[in-house]
Amino acid sequence: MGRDKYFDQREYLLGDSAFSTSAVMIPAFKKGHNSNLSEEKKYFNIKLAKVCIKSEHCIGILKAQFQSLRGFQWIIRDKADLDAILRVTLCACILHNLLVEHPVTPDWFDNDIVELEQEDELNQSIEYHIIILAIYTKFTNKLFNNNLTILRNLS
Amino acid sequence: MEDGTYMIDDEFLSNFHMDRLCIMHLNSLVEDDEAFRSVYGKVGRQSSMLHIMVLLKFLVSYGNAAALQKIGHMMDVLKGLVNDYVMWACNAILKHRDQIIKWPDKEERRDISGRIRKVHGFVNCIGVIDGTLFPLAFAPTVNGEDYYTRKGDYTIKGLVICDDAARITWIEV
Repeated sequence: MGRDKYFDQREYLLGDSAFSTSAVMIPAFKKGHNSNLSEEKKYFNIKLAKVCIKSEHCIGILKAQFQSLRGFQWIIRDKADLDAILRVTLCACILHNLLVEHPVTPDWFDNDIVELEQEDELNQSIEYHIIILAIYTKFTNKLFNNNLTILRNLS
Repeated sequence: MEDGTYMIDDEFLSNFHMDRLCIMHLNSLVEDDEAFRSVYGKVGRQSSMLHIMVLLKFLVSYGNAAALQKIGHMMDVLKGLVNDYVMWACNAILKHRDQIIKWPDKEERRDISGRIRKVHGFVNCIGVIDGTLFPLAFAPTVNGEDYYTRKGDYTIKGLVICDDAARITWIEV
């Protein structure tokens, strides 16, 4: 498998409890049927959640910036329609990446949003999206230029 | 008309969720693409700009506002053409996919794990993975059961891996 191509020794990804454990994947501890997690496991899960919040931010920002991802007005009648939707989605992701800043850790990482993030993706309120978007637009737009200049030098 | 100069900056921002400079840069990235060459005799910067504006308008509008008629009316494009415009612009941007959504190489991975370690204490972690759903407004007419979710919506599923700056390094839809 291509594992060596993507991962160095001892490198791994983090995820929530939906994923299963493997050599390159570390998920959260799951609660058993009638047992609670030990203190250490709880502590680990809390630490983990603080990293995993990034992926929620990522998706939250993506859907806030490109709201059509929250509900495609498109009826899938055949394969071509599905393909079109997938292309549009990928396109939005590309634009998202162009808008993301490179090195600095953004300051929207605060605890109020952490609680909102606990909800499921589909139930996220519009207000929440607006909060994220407002904080986000503050710093994205000017960085776009840098990203594009780098890109153009590459190609 | 075609390059959006008739709008003031705030209008522009609320219409496209990006400011004018961003779109100019985006335009300069894709304006040479042949997707815009063969389109109804219109060539060059103006026409590719219009394509990008239609695409962005399409991407940022939710619900009824995304109706082709409304977008067409606003951008002064024929309703039937909006769909084509979106797909053309999309294809042009998708050609840059490999340069923009790419798995980090060795050094970038080291940078990422270094930053995560500094902030969160996890050693050697190079990314965070999560699944997401992109809802469809209407039920598909074929293979509807494949799109159905436990929440009662029809959706497209996506799997995203991103790094500590919320940049996508891998996406699977």
